[in-house]
Amino acid sequence: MVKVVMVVDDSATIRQEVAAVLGPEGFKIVEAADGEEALGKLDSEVALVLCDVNMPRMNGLDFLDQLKARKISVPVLMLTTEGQPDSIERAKLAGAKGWIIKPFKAPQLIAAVKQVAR
Amino acid sequence: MNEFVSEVLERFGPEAVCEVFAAYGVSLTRLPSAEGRATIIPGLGRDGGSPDATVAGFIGFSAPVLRGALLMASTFEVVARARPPAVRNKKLSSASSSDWILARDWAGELVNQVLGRIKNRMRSHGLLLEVSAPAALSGQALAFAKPKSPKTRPVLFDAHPDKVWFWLDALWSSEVEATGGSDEERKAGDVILF
Repeated sequence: MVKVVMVVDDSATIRQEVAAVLGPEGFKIVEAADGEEALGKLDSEVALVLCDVNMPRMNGLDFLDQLKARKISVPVLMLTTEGQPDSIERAKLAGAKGWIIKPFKAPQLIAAVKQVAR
Repeated sequence: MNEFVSEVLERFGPEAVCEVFAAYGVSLTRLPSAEGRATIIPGLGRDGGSPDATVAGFIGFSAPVLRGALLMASTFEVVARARPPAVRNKKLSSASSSDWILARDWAGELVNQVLGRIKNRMRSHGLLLEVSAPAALSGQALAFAKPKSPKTRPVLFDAHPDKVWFWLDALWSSEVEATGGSDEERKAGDVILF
């Protein structure tokens, strides 16, 4: 069965990059440009969310809080340029499964996604 | 303490630009000071003149005792060349309006990644920055008013053959205090699973 990965990033190029890396690995990619759009598109088919932090409208950390508030259970990996320990800790406490710092390396991304996707 | 902010402006910022472009396979060489040529984005084209297709990314940041912005501009060709390897097989054309959208998108992401590195470096010295979402613009021979801040440091890089122009400005209070560097700084490509 094809697993669906949702990529939440305000950069279309990053979304395309993730699709180009994960598509050949058998994942189907769904895109969202920010946390608000992602909440509207999430469904039970999504096996994993890859989520940026710094985005307009709703950032990645607020998106995690919204998932928790709405009792939506889906694995989330943060994919961001940021690497502050306090932000990483906040994401962990909010339920994220991991943190990947851009620019990512394709083999590491694939390995992390395969390990965390439900 | 002001020496630390000056170091960010003069060293960390340009280093971050080089690191981000290098991560996407584009080698930059810092050129002698661009101070005297700050009224326009100068000589980005390979002939030293104004190119037909300029793309720029802009992003702001703030902290309780510090605020500023950075701007990075280059040619359509350099921005297209600095795209991720996984999407580079589809060449961008400056004749395509949809490709201009992708070039602006990537210029915004590049400037976001540059600030991300500066933010990580400053955080390791105890300064926590809040950042805005990036914005991008493009056009023919973009021109800028000369920045009024005496602390502005325009920097020009050679991207062989085109150029990258980088401007980082910051204002800070005398209360700014940075701690010594810590080992907590995370690097690009790091994967941390909880």
